[in-house]
Amino acid sequence: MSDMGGTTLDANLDDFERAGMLSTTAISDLTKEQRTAIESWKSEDVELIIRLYRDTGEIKGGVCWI
Amino acid sequence: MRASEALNAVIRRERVWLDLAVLRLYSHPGFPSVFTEFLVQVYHGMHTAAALMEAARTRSADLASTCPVAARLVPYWDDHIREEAGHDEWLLADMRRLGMDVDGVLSAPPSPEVAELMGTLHFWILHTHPVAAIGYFYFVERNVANVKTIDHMARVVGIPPTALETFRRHATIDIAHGRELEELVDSLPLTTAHRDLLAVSTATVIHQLGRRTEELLLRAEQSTVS
Repeated sequence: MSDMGGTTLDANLDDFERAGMLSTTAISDLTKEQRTAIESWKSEDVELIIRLYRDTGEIKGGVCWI
Repeated sequence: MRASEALNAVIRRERVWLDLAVLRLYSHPGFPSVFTEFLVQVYHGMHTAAALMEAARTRSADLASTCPVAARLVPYWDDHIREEAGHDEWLLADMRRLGMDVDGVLSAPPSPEVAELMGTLHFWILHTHPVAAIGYFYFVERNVANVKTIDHMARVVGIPPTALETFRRHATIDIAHGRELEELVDSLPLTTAHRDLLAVSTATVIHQLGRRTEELLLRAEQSTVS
């Protein structure tokens, strides 16, 4: 994921993949707009997300609804 | 391929953005400022889900004499309506304990994101087939927040760990509901059209939950810069 055609570095997605949160397949399912949004997140925000994932073991979108 | 396997494949493909957006919302410094709105949206979702099941039950009964899938759904809706009855009241009780203006919550219109989510499902129930509503429950009830996530929410918002009783109860009961739904989906005599509708309704639920999460994230973001 570090080389998107040699033009774009998906640093945040790389971090999520290394943290075990996302597979390469999952990342490929994101739209261009979603990838752009994720890459706009600050590195400290990405750290908070990864910490929450590690603390809770959660990577499930349905958790926002019951 | 079993129907549940096909549905799980759709969910795996469609959920990636929602998963990340939800984690971003819950870890966002502005989450406490949108927490009340978050609970209100969940309340309206739970409340409307009861009406959704009633509509699906009525439509299933209407179609039952000519559609074996609809006929199989009638007893499912009967059971699920009974199981979910009053759960929205649990959340109102939690909100009262947190000091929220519950009367204000009930008098204000639900957000467009909630109307869009639940309204789309109502459309399919009434105008296509009630199996569409299964997609909503299949996704939501198989992806409930675990206790650690609920504890996290309480900690960052600054409320007692026991305050979110409704979420805690669902962390347990929805596990059984999720298993029942998988068995149901695999036992239905689904045609290709039913499977396609189930796939598109489930994908739409995920997309609309994503949009609703994006809106909350935007407001959380705004709260930290203003």
